[in-house]
Amino acid sequence: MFKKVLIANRGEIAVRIIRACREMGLKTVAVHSEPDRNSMHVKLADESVCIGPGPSSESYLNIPNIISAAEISGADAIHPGYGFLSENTYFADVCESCHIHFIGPSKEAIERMGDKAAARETMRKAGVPIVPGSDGPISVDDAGLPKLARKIGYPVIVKAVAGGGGRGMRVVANESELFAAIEVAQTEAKKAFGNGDVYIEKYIEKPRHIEFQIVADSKGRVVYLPERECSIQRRHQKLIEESPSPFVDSSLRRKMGKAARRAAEAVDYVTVGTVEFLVDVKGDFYFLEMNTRIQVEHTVTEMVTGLDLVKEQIRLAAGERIDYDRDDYPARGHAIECRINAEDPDHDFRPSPGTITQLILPGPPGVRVDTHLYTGYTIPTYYDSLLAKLIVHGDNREAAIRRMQRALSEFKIEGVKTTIPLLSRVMDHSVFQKGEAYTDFIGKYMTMSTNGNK
Amino acid sequence: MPKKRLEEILEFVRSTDLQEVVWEKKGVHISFRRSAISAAPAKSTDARASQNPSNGQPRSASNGRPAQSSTGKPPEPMTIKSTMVGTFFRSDSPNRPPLVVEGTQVASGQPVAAIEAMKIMKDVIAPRACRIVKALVANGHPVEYGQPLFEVEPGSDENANV
Repeated sequence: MFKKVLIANRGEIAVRIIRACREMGLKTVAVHSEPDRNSMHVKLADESVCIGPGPSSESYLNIPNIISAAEISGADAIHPGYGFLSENTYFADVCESCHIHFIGPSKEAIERMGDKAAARETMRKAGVPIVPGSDGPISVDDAGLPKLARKIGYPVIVKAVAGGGGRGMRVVANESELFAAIEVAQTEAKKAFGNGDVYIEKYIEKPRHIEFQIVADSKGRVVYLPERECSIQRRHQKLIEESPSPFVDSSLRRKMGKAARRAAEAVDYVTVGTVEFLVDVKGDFYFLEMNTRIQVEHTVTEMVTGLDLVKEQIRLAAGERIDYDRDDYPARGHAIECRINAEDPDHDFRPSPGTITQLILPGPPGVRVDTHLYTGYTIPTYYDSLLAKLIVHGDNREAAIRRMQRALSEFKIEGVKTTIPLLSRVMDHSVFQKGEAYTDFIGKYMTMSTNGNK
Repeated sequence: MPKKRLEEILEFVRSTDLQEVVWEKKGVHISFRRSAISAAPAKSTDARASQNPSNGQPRSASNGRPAQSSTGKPPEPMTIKSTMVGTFFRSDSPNRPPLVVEGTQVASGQPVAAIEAMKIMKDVIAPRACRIVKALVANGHPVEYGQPLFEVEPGSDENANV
């Protein structure tokens, strides 16, 4: 096992990882930017090293300074969290050459899943269903493109090869819009990822986003855990996640879980990861992508399985074995997570940085809050707006929704605008309560001011 | 002077709106000056005054100390800061003498130390012409981003020792 873990991240996930390390008896090193000097993860870690100024590109993405921080502090492993360097092949490679364990899968696995077109091909070969689409990047100069789009069937979606988080994506309803959409997506992708390659695929209407957490050891044992439904999204950013899905029955769960396992096996995956699927109303499912890291929403899986996925991730990265092996890992009850962001839902979700003047957290039973907030904390403007994850557990979905409504009503964050009012409205909405929300839910039902009805 | 006595004097000074009080007795000379900005300098002044041994040494506000503490923190000295994370070295090679010592005049852009990270030595560059007052980090110690490495005074390029 490792002795000292450097956490190359910030915010709630850095706090979450430090807690897991502490319970495992591992020393922790926080790295931070200058404006994060008073951040919670710095306060909780055994040691801290300032690695650069505010902009992520000079601090949390500054590989030389992070590796140096590991060297001067004597850390033997680095946990990358999510975002930042968590799916950066080069970083995993540098860690390896500096004899520091990267807590995650191999760099080859990251690479094979990171390139969306290559991942599709890998999945096709592994017998994991994929959405019909182009083989690799497309160009407006390609004469066969309109024919290909017709064959896939409109509407189609244009996506960035290097993409994620909704950037570089365009839905195309018919042929007249095709070329313009591709050009816009290419420009956007170039700007966001430095790679302008895009591809097209079938756009699935009324889709649900359902994903499977997998856990894998270095001996090749892969276990899939109960699914998470993450259909409540805004511009492809998840807002609410739950487990299990109100849509998935045990036979679909087994089918999808096995496909997720094949996906992980195809790239010799080790540690924890997530295979994301789009599921249509008929229950046909298609591989979207694999996230080769711990995810924001790992918490709901923890609540229904009782596992500590961050500890599992560290254990498995250190070469330990999975000591459970079952196809139908039981889900106990129902868990929901709400992401609370420093955004103003009344003004098109614009970021709302500021100082927390008062913080009142909701309490038990069945309530968990993962956050780095404290009263007096100033939210820097450089980073993402996630303030807290509110997670509830109940005996069934209905009980969990009622508990979430109660917890949201208790949660008070003063000093900044948050998405709490919006999340409450989702919980109160009959479409959500019936479990009939698709990925278009927010755009369709939540566009009006939070003060309005419905 | 007993600490209690000193506290009494301070208490008295605080209760008045006097701007300056000079205390002199048997060779002990203490002067208090109230800052125009801060109204409650009592705590830090107290601490400093009680540390002052009653050895007959004159101690006055003119040496700046009580007055300084009453305006809060002293102004931050000018420093050369680390721009990276790594191990700090006073010279660019183990067998060489330090690149700069106390009093060295350096020109803007002149290397003053080195930081080793990932087996690579990088020079620490003086961002402007200055005179080294003192080194703040010992040779071979780890440094973080933004950590002050040298205290310096402004200097001109002309008299730099290049």
